[in-house]
Amino acid sequence: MDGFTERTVGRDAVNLPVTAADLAHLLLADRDRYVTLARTLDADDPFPRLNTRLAAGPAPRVVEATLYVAAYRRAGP
Amino acid sequence: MPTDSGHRPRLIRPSYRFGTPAAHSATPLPRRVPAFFSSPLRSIVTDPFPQAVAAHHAAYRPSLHDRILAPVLDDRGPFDVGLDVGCGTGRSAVALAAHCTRVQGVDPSPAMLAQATAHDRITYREGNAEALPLPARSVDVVTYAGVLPTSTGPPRLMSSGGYAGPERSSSRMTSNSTSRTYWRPWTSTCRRRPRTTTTPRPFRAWTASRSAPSAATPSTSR
Repeated sequence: MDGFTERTVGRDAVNLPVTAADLAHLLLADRDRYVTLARTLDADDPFPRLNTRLAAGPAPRVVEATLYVAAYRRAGP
Repeated sequence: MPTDSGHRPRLIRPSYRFGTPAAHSATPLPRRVPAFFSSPLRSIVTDPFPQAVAAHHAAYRPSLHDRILAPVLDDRGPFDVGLDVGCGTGRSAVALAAHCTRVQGVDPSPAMLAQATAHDRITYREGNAEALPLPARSVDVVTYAGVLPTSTGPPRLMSSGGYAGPERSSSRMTSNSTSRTYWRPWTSTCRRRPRTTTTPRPFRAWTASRSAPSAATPSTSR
């Protein structure tokens, strides 16, 4: 970014235990995934079927999130 | 929508709109169309910010913003005015509010803002960051939760010495994984920004309706 100096760059990874319902909400919070899952599960509202399938899957369910951060500071007057 | 603090989020709607339904949504469909085009799924495909997606976004979102902001801003704040670009349902704005006296959250999606978390020190605005009616250099810290590549406006708003903290996360699902942490050492050369200022802040003019800052900051946990 023009006029800014990079001050911090970092990365981290965290593991988040989630329930089947949490995971279903997370997956359906993206439009492209929502459409894909709705088509795959043949349902206008794919949440109930997705939740059921995820609940029948292996446990524990963990989402591994990789976090990236960069901080810049504005220079000049 | 009921919220943690029992009141609706404060939302300012501009005269311009973004993300309105496609113009052809009111056009009658031809008699013979594939099932998809006559299903509710069609509106999700054509609407850039579908309400169904926003509802799932609000229903569960991991509290990652606190983890990201705390190491970066703890030793540099507190700040007076914060701006969260692409605030969505407000999770990132609430995380930023822990470091600011007041926060503006801006997002182009009415569906997302309809699900926003109410907070005494946050005002939500519908629109895009490039069109924010704010004076130049009136913001002390700007955060982008994964939307930096699509935003170019806020730098002009930042005060000298202000911080911009673009952040993003990617995730993958595992059934069994080991944790690993490797933060790079944060630079410690940044000067702490003083909270007091000798110049009036016109920014307050359009946030005059905000409530008094509360001592407690609502948690971003679901």
